[in-house]
Amino acid sequence: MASYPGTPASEILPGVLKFREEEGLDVYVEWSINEKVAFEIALAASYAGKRAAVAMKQVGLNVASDPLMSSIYTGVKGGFVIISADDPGPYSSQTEQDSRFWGLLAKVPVLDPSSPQEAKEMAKYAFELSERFEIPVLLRPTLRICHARQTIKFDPPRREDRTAAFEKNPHRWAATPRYRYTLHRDLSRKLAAIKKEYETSRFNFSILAGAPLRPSSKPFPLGIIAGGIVYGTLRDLLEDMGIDAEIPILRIGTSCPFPEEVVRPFVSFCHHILVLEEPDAVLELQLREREKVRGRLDGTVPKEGELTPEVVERILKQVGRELGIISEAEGESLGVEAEIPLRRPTLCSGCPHRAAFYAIRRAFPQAIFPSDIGCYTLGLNLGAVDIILDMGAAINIASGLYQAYRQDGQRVPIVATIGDSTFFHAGIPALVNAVHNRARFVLVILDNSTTAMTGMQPTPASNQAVDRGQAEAVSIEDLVRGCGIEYLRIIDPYDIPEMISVVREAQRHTEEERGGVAVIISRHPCIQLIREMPVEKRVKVVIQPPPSSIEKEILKPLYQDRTPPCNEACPAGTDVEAFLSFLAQGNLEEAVQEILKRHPFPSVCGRVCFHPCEEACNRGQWDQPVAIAALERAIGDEGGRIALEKKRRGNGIQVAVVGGGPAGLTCAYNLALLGYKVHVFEAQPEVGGMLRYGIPPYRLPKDVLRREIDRIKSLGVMISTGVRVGMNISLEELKRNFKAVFLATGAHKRKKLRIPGEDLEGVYQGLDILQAINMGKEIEIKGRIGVIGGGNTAIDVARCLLRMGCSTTIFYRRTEEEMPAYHQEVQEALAEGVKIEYLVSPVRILEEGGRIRAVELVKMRRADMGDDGRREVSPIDGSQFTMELEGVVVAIGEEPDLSFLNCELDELKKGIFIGGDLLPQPRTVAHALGSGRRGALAIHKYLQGDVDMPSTQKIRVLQKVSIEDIDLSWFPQQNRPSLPRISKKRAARGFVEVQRGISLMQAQKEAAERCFHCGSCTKCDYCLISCPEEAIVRGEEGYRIDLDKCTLCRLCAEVCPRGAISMPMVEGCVGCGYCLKLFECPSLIMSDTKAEVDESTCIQCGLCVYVCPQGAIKENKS
Amino acid sequence: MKLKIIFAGVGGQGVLFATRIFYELAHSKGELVYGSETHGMSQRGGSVVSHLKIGHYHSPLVGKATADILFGFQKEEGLRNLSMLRKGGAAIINSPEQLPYQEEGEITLYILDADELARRIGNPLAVNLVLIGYGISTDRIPFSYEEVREITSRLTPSHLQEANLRALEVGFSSAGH
Repeated sequence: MASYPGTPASEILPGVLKFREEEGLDVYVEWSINEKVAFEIALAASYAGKRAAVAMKQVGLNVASDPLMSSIYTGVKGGFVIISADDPGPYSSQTEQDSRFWGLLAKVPVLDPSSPQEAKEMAKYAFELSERFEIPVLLRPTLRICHARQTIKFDPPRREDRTAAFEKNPHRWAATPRYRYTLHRDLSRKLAAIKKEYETSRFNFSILAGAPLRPSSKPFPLGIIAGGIVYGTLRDLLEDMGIDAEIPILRIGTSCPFPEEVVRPFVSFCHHILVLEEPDAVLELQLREREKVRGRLDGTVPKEGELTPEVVERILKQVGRELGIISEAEGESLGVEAEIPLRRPTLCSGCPHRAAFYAIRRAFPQAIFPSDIGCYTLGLNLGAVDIILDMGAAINIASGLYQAYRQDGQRVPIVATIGDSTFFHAGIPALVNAVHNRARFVLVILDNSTTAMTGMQPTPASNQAVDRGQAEAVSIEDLVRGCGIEYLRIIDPYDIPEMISVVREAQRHTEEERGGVAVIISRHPCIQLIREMPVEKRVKVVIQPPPSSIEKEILKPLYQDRTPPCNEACPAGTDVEAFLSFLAQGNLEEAVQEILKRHPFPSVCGRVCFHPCEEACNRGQWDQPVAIAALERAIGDEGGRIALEKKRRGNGIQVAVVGGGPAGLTCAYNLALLGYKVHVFEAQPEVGGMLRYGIPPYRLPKDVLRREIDRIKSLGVMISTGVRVGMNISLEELKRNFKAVFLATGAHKRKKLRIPGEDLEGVYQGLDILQAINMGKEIEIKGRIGVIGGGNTAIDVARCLLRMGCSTTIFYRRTEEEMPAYHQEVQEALAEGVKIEYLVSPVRILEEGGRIRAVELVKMRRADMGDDGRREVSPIDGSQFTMELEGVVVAIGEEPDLSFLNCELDELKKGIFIGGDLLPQPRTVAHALGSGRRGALAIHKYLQGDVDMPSTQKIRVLQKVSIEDIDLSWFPQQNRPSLPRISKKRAARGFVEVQRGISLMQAQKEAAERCFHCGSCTKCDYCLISCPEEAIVRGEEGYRIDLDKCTLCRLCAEVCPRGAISMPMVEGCVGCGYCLKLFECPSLIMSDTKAEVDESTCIQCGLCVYVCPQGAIKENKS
Repeated sequence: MKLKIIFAGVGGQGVLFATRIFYELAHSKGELVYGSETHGMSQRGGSVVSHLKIGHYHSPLVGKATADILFGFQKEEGLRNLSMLRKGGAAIINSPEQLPYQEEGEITLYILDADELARRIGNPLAVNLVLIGYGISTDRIPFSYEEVREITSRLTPSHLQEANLRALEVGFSSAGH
């Protein structure tokens, strides 16, 4: 016997197994993979001469209809019985179809029992009939028979000791269409004979008042033809109503072929005929004398639903009254009606499907969710099931939906779910088809390692057969891979956050260029299989008084841009996230304008800044920081020609800026934007300061700098070069002629080594060399050169000298870790061939003919921490050594030259402001830019009082966004673009820029895909689609919360991928009902207006702890 | 004997086990039994109703307003099936509080907080047996406590014997409270 479980036929095979064990019978039983397979397995046994049966529910026979139709033609050898159980109601099926129709369509003889006892007798007869006519026989019980208990008399079992003996007969078993015609003719003959036999069958009989109906002279006003369980209901009812002597019943147990000779006399003997049968009108349709007949066809009997005693009673009374059999007086006997709302079926407490569905919906609330047949159909309660059709359809529906949308150029997320047993049943061909036809969707196989809904039958993945014998376990994952699936993840859905993350990752696979169907096996055993929870988590709901209206105001969600770490880290005060977000949208113009609101140097800054923003970037803790510097450079380079937004109207107020370096120029630029008339005084022949004369051209090409300075000039900033304040013009004079003065003269006074020989020929200052190179002057320097120092100047000089053909060694007195130069620059220098000696210090410079010959150095060792937090070093006695050198460059730092001031910095008069390297701050370009901007704003405030400052794009609250605020499941790990550079060989040959930029397209991709946009709303709509109350509305200026609808569940704040929604967590139940609505655990109940744990049904799975966005459900550790 | 009983509860309460006790009992006394079980789609927590008819019947279903006895192992499920009781029928319902409906249908309601009793004896899953014990004590069911006890013992696996019989007894003797 073979079967596939399905209510109400699931108990048949275990029943046979029980008899086998009790009686010591040799019966082969198997749960087959599906009904078609089961049918063919059993049929083959019959072909070999053995008795065989196959059992299934009615829709199962749809699956097996192909072999059914054909096997009627071939016929059988051993008795072959098909059991197909119908489900009037329906209670647990997709349809109320009537299996007896197969008697008409497939021409299979049908037997229709009215009680379990009769089902047993018919089964016995069916085998005998089948064997005698070599034809399959269909036994059709309904749910009420399958799920009934009755006192039954058993006969001793009859043993059929047959050996398998298949007799070859190609014209029959392998018939071609021509022989099929012959077989059809044979079939007609068989059916004619069976019809004759049915006409005398004991399964068809007429009865009156409990006794066989005898011919009488007086016809009856009403006779009832009944089949199936309704016959029993009718008998009990007629007796109860006391009319069993007035209405005869013809019970038909052999619906097809229709026993006409039994029916004809009964019909002619009654004025009216009522037909009662379930679930459809198979007998009724076969009656020839239609005008007498009442039944489903004329609407006397409802066309849908079960014929319960109540329904039959109603029909009888209606027909009885019409025909005058029952007096009008008899009303319906009413019981006490208590209005109790229907209990809707739900997944069990602790069901792993609930966890999976919750995660799926959280991952993609807007997806289309095709699902399949099984317990998990109830995922519809969690809003994670949209379509249920039939076994295995989930995968095909998903494929079809994909193709339908794709045709229109649309993509919607589709997440299909299918159970493990259902996947085996009909999912495999569907998956192969999806892969072959290049469909794209996420398929979650809900593997609870059993066929749960029908009562825990093993699936083919089990190594145990139904009779506890050994079976070969078939691996679902191997099957999936075998179907050609490239994306497969196996996960325990009890880890809800991980499940959410995997579903999103799977969806991304479907969107990738070479993506396809992504399969997730959600694996956790059915809660009914494991009686004891491995980890018991008692939970409680924290109850607190309902929030007052004022509290509600505080508790409501608020869209509020927060401070991303990049912004906080930027010394220049750039709103990094803002320009990245414009870039991400492909809006180059706004991206440039956003930077230009703060400083005029995107191209410069993108090249030379030490980018602390990247150090701070949250993404760095995930994979690699966003390549912010490269993006700023791309924006500056590509958008450099974009005209500045209109500056404010000029106010005529004159301000002087002393020093045309980055700080001075930024100050001048910002002042000009504010409407001031600015005059810059620069001592050097050109403005730019260290940008112009310090940083070598291979790091910052001078035309890049010039372009950005031109933009400043375009604002009407006056620039006077070659003017040294304190020499050509006095500070006092400036003070007189200008309303305010910004001093940013920089640090140019070279520090000295203070060792013998420092003034020899061949000893240079680092900045002098850099300046000469930047001015295009020829310098006579060659051979072995030593560079003293560890800062950026030392590295820059060393690399420049290398390019001029020198062999360069840097001598630094401390260790590599303490080197103040940027790590990246050091690495590049080393790569280009610069040598670095650590822990060495020059003692003196040795001469030969007034020129340097060598340097004497001493080795150093690390000593205690100094006052500045850096480790001190001290010379090692006797470790002196000499190094032959043609030149030495001193690059140990510079300091401001304040000789022009006549006073200390803190004694400056009102109206004089300082910036750049005059400030006690790190001497970096970014810090200089920041001080320039701050200086401009301070001057603006000083001159015009408390005026509004130029507005920036985003108003941010100070609260910084940390990586914990980011939902990383949205962001696949992905490396930053590699930043192109010219070859080392080429780099060492000249002063061509080493680092190259990335394309605007690459930059936009980086900003769009890799930037988290920490704490900034990107209008991703995820809050809107997640809100269970549809309380979020998308407006012109972002989102709006409809507070009438908002229940304060806090899901929006919880699901925002980037922490852009602020909403305090109450850590107590606010009575929003979210857990009941979208987690729908039967052990979470609403009591008054608060959620509560129903201790009597809670199995302590602990899943709900993750669910409450307000943090009200907690583990109860006491 | 002719007797129609409805057993109503939710999955996991042992409604079918309770039904089986009466099947076996009636069968052992030589009575014919016939009945039907309905369970919803899910295993735990869904409505479960079983119909039992003792005596000569042709169908397994109890019609509306024809049942003699109703066991409601859970309050809502009990109330939902009240309409199955005939006039003069008796409902034995597990509920922490008294229930209305007593008068209007000429039915008798026997209420017991079986959950509480079961919890008290440390066997919260034995609500079914507590309520059956209580039902027997009402004299509305034509079986003796001893008969029920013997069948329960026969159907119970040995490691649960003591606990199950204790539950039955607690229910039976609770009538005096």
